[in-house]
Amino acid sequence: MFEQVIWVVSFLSLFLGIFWINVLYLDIPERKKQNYKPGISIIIPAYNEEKTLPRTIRSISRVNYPKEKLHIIIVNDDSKDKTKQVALSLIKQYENLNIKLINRKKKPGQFTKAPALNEALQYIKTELFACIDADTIISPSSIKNLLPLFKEKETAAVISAIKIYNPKTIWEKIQRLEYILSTFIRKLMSKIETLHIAPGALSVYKTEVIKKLGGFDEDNLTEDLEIAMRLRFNNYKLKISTDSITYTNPPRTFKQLWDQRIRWFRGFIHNTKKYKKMFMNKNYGMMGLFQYPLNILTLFTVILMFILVSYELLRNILRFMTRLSVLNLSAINFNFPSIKEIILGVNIKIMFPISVSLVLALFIYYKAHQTIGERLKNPLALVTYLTVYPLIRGLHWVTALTKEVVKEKKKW
Amino acid sequence: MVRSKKTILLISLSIAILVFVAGIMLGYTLDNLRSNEILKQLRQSELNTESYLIHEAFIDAFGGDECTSLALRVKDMQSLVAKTGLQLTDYSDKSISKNKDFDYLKRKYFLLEIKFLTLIERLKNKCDEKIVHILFFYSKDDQDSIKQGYVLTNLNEIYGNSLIVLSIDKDYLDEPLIGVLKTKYGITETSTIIINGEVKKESFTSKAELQQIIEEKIK
Repeated sequence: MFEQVIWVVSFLSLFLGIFWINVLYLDIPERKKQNYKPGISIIIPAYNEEKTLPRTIRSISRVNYPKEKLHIIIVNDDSKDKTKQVALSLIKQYENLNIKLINRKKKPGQFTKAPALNEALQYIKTELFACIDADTIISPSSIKNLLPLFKEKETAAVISAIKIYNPKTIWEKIQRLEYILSTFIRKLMSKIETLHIAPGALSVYKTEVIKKLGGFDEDNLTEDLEIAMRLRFNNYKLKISTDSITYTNPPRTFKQLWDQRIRWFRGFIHNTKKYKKMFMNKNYGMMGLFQYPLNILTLFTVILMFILVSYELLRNILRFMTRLSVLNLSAINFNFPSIKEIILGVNIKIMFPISVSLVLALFIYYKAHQTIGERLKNPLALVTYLTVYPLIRGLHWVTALTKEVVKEKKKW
Repeated sequence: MVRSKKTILLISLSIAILVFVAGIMLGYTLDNLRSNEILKQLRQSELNTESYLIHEAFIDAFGGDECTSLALRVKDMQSLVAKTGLQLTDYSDKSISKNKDFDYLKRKYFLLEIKFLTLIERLKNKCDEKIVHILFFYSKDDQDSIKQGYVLTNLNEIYGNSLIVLSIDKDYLDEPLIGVLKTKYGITETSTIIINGEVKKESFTSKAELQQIIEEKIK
């Protein structure tokens, strides 16, 4: 059964990989609104961000955009550290920036940043608003570069390309690869109008549309994914500007990464269920007929492959342990086969689909780096990402699905 | 725009199918090469067996020092039979298209093993050669059989030409001779070994225990 499943998964991966590569070369001219410089409010929800908030504000102060058109709203979300004091000193320090501070108290049971966003939304009068995390660093041209993509009336949100700020640990370097790939895939999704995510690092929205839809979902683990899917559900579009670069601080340790990914994947599962009416619904075009089914298929495939690969791995380890138990050190065999024996001994049932998937993965990573303008580096991170990390990610998905099925209490 | 997306989907699907068909063709080619390799080895073994019998008949008719030369020939055949057996098991597990052909080759190989066994017995009776032969009755995916297989392979490496192990799939029903052997030796358990046609060990037998028995037999 393992071999049959791996062939099916590999075939689907190859088909999708070739599809996305074809989309990359699809010539779709981007419609841009020239000289569009509306007022923009920037919401920065901050919970215990005393250390990173100054860097975020500094990056905003360097943005190439008329300062009189920028309105910054820091929402001190019931912080237990000196976030409030830091915010007040930043307001004094950056007198040329229009910064407002809202201090709010979390209500019992509130665990997401959506309430902070909604509170700030009440004060917004500008045509557009941006949500950025309090540890984000936006590049000087990030705002300017994403505004032209608001050309079409149906475009309700434009997101930026996210990169990792100064990756040091192996987990940060792996996430760097993840973000390169995800930005690349989002660019492709944007081309075929199936983009359905608005990351919290930097996304810009049309104020009127978000207010009309009722603001952010305060009971959702991933309010950024939820609002994006709600926009799609209401037939709005999202776009990505890969010229707009934002740097984020990723989780540094395994535990931090684990917690974040469980939250993300639970949010994905929950929101996929929430908007299931889009599934195979031709009224939503490629989103309903292709992307939504693909998202669900990917979820099941990842979980199934995780279970099968783990089983095979454990079986092989057990076999080796059995051999070791009966033969002791003689179990380690140093007899190397000849080239003829190696060729005739290849298990095509396993090696062919794995080889195809590997070659495809390497090619896509190469194109992703090229398209996003990143250098290929950290070979150890790439090897870990392609070999060990899929198992960890499979475990993330299984855990997230289990927590959603048993309706475990949500936490940040 | 919609039409070009459909076209892209169709092109992508076609390319993916082509790549996988190429993979399947590669599998067929590899299967052909493998079955040819096994067939070549089996034919070599058959020729060696025929040659051995003629050699024996020649010595019977015209006289000569049979034991040294015959013992050498058995030792040569032993390594080929062992190698063929391992490869046959490996290749038939990995086959995608030639399952029937490998079944036929398995049957041929089993008959070759029994013929080889009879040659060993004749050599031992004629020349009092100190060779230990072990018939190993196994079942696929049985834990005891797997463990016993490891031990016997390792012992083969240690004792070289003094130990001959012939592995028989106890559940292989296509060859009636297996039923005959099972009845003769009273085989009911998986992982049963018969040493020199006399000593019977059921379930897993440790390396140490087997080594002790083998040492006694080749003293």
